[in-house]
Amino acid sequence: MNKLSSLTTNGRHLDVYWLLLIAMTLISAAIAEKAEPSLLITIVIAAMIVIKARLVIDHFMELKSASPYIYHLMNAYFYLFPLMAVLVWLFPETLAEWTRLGP
Amino acid sequence: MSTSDSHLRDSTLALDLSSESPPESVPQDRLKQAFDPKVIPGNPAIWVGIFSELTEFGIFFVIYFIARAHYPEEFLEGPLQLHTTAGTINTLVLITSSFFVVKGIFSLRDGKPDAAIRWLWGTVGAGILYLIIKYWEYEWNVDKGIEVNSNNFFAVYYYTTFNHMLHVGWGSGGIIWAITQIKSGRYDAQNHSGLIAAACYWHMIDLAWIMIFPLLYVLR
Repeated sequence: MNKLSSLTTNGRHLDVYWLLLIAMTLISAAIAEKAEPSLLITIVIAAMIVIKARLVIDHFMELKSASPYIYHLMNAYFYLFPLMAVLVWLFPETLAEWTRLGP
Repeated sequence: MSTSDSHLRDSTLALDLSSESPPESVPQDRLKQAFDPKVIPGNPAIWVGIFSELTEFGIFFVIYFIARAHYPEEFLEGPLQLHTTAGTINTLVLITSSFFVVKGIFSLRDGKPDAAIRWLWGTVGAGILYLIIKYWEYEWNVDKGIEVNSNNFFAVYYYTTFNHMLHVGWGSGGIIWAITQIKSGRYDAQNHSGLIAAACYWHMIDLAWIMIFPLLYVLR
């Protein structure tokens, strides 16, 4: 058994993913405190949601080796909403127009 | 071979796979092909629950986006008034709790039920810590005059985070139930699908917060 597969069997690879998730959370917090709103910041935050969700779905939930219906549906959810965050930044007036109640 | 014969052969293979040792006459790649799409982590019922909960949170997210488009000023100022550190600590706590769950599963698979129980109590402890921090955050908000009817941003904030907080509460209950099953010996290295179900539900709660934290505390 090579070193990588040994780590995976023992669950030690999870420690690395946990540290990555912690690091991305701290970066998000720093952005919340310091950065001014912009399209770039919105894209960076949306990308971090996708990466964090994929780490949890693939490795903590172990869905990568599960039913593809469940796996792809879960992934789609966590691509769709970050994408919506970017689209709402780009086209807020359009969304407001589409969802206005009354004349 | 007809289509119905083919289906019959597939179901027979799936049934064979439920036994401890698959028949040696069946090639391994054929087994994988027949088995993989059928792997439902935990049980099918928990996935009905998980996707129902994600739909509920999805409705909250859509409401967030619509409200944000209609009230841009409130959603620009709102996150600045929240206690970002409390939100950040709770994110770290939930991510760590998810990590504890999966470490517990690996320990049980490794034939270490006592270690698994310790990891899972860590999850429950993290859940309780999350609830304490959230309660404190709500108290801090009220002291600052931030209430559910303060404006549209805070209405979305309170409805979404309170709903999520309830999930952390009963998700912790599910983990405690799994601990009792390990203690009683009903779950062991080979048989612990109920723990997998409770774990997947817990990860879903973590995933929901992975969306909620940036939407409410970070993005403006």
